[in-house]
Amino acid sequence: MSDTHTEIQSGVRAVAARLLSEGRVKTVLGYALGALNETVPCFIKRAEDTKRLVWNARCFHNLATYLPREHMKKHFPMAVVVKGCDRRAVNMLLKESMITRENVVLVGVPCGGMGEPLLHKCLYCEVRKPEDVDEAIPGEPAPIETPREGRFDSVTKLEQLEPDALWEQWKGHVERCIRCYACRQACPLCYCKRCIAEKTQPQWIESSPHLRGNFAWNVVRAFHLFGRCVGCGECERVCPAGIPLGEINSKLAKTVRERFVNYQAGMDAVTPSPFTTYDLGIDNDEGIL
Amino acid sequence: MSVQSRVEPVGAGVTVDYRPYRMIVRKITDETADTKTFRLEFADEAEGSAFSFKAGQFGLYSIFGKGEATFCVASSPTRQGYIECSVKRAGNVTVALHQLNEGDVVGFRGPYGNCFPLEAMAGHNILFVAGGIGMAPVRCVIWNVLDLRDQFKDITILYGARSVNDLVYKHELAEWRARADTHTIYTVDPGGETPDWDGKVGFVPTVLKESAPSSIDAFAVMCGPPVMIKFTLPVLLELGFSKDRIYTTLENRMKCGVGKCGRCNVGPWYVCKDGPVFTAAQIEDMPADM
Amino acid sequence: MQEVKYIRDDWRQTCLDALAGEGYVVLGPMRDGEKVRFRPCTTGSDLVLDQVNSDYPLKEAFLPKTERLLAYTFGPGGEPAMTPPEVATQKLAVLGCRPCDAAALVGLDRVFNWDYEDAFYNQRRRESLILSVGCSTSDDRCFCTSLGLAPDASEGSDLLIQPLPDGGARVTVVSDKGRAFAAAHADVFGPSSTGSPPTVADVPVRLDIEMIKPWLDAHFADDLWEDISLQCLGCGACSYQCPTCHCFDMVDETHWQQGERRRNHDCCSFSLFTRHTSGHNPRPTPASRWRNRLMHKFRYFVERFDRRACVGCGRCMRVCGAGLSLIEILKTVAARPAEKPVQEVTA
Repeated sequence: MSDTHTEIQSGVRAVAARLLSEGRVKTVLGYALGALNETVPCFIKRAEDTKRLVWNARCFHNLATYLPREHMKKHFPMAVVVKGCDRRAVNMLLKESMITRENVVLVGVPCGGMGEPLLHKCLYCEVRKPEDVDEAIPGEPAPIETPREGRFDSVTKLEQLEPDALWEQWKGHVERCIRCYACRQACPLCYCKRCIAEKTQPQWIESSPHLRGNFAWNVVRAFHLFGRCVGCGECERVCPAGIPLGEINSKLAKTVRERFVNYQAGMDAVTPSPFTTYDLGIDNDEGIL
Repeated sequence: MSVQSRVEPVGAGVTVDYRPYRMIVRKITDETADTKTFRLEFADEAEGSAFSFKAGQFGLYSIFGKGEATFCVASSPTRQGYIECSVKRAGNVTVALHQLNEGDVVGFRGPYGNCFPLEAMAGHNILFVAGGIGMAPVRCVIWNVLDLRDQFKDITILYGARSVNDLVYKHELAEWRARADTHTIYTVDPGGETPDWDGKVGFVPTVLKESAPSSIDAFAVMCGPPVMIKFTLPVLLELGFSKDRIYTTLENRMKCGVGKCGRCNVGPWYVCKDGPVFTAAQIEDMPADM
Repeated sequence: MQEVKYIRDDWRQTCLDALAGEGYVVLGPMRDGEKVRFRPCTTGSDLVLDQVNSDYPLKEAFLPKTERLLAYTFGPGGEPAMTPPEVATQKLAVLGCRPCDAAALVGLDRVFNWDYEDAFYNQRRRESLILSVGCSTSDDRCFCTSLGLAPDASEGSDLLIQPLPDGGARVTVVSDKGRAFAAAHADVFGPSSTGSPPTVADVPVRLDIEMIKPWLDAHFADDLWEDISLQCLGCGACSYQCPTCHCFDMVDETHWQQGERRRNHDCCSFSLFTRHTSGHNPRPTPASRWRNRLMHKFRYFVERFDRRACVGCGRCMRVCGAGLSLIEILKTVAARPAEKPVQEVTA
């Protein structure tokens, strides 16, 4: 762990301890070390337990995913440690009225990227110091070298494949899907109390984990995230089937940028989202700014 | 209560392939605004002749294309050649069931589960207490008992529903009332009576307390919505009924019906295998998982 | 005393060929995209045995994630007619599962044969031959030894193969079926070998499993359930990749004039698993669902089938997106006093 990490970790612990002992929050949601030394989400209730909190290059989880859950309400107000990508997810939840700003205390952490080697999403991150947070942990994120490959290069390669070849490649991935819905449960923007995959009157998506049902599920989920996905990459990380879900979401993110004048989900909590904004005053050819 | 001691291995050595019997809808009776009773006959007569079940058992009724739903067999095992189920319209499958016409084909898988202990009840008095659609499994036992009337002593039927319209098996209620060998008490909730209603007005637990049927040498068979059970059970205990002689039938979300899919358990007990019939004593032992 | 045989040299290919010669379709751990899964295998070098365990569990071979129970068609008037499903006629053999996955089959055998006998599970399982491969490596998520199993345990296997450092493999004959197979291929399964013994992975015992059930018996209501369930994402990854989990759903799928009734795996962690059509849900909270999961595996299954619904394979911990550790949870439980709480609190 680098010096920057240690500094930031101390900062997080100090802030968390203060928030709890002042009674400003009931719970602090941050990262801690699990039994096998991996970094995991943890819910802390007492100031003396905040020494468990850590900050390192394995703080993968998007903690915003816990916020819209019904059974979390009794643990509010809650302080949440957020990286840039997590902060973007919080913006989306605010825009979509899934959380009330007063119920969360945002602890923004400067992030030098996760993973060794760095995750793909981190190479192109534009939110290394999350803004509009209640507690900004001081520190400078470690610099990240500009990657040689363009952000959407892998998507472009897929776009260039013949449909049959693309189908062959993806058929293998999608067949392996086991409909565990880890992708949905890990995603901060998948918060529907009754998911479309769970509806029976009428049934929109077959629940069976065969190729046809799996395609329906994965495609519909991607579509429901169009213009909403912040690219945190959690879905792909948690998928036990190893399906490159990030490629699907990248493809849609690329499309959103092209069609909606460089729109990126969650950069703030006010810009209207394409696809979920109904406004006759917007000229669709100009797109939403 | 040990799990092993409750298991009655009715299916031991029997292969289950989840294939239902093919049934023909012979008669449809509108019980209430949202409840219908279906009389089903086996499409294959040989299957029908070979078929038997015991009071309390259930089956999975299917609409091909929609799926299966679980209901008790509401007709008595003493009546050969058909089975009946009473269905409240609620979800996917029951909506489709309500759209059936006489002559249509449905599926039936069963009989599954345990049964009411009629052999143990023989020679004793029986009090039946039912509420609303909970009368369906109770009605099965009532007709079973009435068809073998001289095996049992005093029979009392206490039945209530939210309103007169919500009473099910209205014709049979009148038949039971007309019988000299059966004592009946019918009631509707306050506000549920009509001008010509001549039964009691009051919640089932209240009416039970007022009527105070004797618990001496008696069994109780009870079924109804959870709130009714919650308030009726203490009254039965006050009246002196023993926890081992109060029987009810539980329901839970089911799929396989044969103790394999893991869905219907209340703590360690599968409603489809260790139940659906349980005594009050056994239910007291159950964790708050229902 | 179990009989021991030896295979010279390329035990993978010789076993595959011997099995194929008897008409078995052989399933082994094979690469499928980024993951390792049980798939038909004919080439020994395709077997992936350099991972601690396959990603997908062996149970898939006998209880597929989705399978057809029956098919139906609708006549011109809408009248349904059933078609029974095809009966699987191929004999299945498994080459290369780990001892934990083989032991898991014993539990599944009980579920699908106690009382009624499940035709679909049995038609794959009855004729099957299990050749498991012992573990020479493990990771910190393995805990088979905490459950009375071991990296060289033979429960559930017909033959247990342990590759030897100097080449070839040592084979322990476990069952009558295994004995018959080895006898029929005496050219493959030879009598002796000199050389180093197989490497057996070191899997330290991590907790006292005997402490678990007494605590579960007395603590249906407890804060533990809330504490664990806060972190849980509520997905089905752990159940689906667990070699012992067996809960399933039954659904009808129709396309115009025909359809099928299918059995699909399902998971008690899902919020709708126990929800009645009326809206009532006996397990409405993540806490109640987590309780059911742990209770089922370490208490209810034990009471009904006299064995735990867990073999310590560790997959649940490897796939958990929230970083939960079953080992840690069990250790937490094992450290708690088992007495019934003085005040019974209803959940």
